[in-house]
Amino acid sequence: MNSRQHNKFALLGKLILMVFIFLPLSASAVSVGDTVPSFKARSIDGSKNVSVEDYRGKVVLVDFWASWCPPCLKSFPKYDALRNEIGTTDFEIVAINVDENTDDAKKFLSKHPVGFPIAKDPKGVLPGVFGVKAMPTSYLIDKNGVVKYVHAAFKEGDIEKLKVEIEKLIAQ
Amino acid sequence: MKIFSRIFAILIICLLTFSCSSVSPWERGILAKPEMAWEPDPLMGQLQEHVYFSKEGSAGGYGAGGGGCGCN
Repeated sequence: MNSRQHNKFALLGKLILMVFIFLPLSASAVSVGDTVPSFKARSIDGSKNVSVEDYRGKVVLVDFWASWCPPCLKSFPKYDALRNEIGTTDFEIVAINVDENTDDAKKFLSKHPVGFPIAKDPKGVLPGVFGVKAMPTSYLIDKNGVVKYVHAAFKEGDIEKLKVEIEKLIAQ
Repeated sequence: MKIFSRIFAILIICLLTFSCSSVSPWERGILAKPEMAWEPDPLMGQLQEHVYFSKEGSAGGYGAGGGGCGCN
């Protein structure tokens, strides 16, 4: 190989390297129609594992929250009331706390206890897997484990819309 | 070609060593603390903006993204 060919190959190699450096690592966010990612997280009190597969056959609302997120804290009592209203035969809520210091979450929960299972993810692995883009974000999953509704943010009036979606999925 | 290789190498080193990074939405716990807010007292901040507007006849040019919990 002469030096000209060598230079051409060297240039090609460098261009390929540049492509891989600049190629963005696309985050595969979970969206409507996707199967919910399988996960197992420790419960916030550390006593057991929490997995969405434990609730296959039920409509599940997976909610990412943190104690420093005011809309998250507003949503909690409303979610608990919704769960009590609909009942847990066909519906469950799985909340995933992403506080880096889980004690902050426990402090909030000691003042505002709820009945649904809460998992902890202080390293923030699961929100990355789900592709969470805002806090709070909730994923409504049907009885077969398919994501049917993704909702970022929480405002007054969201509970009514969510209730309609949940009842539709329970009826299917 | 040597010059191109050197420029390329310098570019790559620069790109690999810059320190900007984004904060994921679930990592904003520290940014959400009151002491991290650009203006910890919103009322005082508005009062100051009004004073600047009145005295200087100018508006805007304050505040920046980055602080707060970024919640919706």
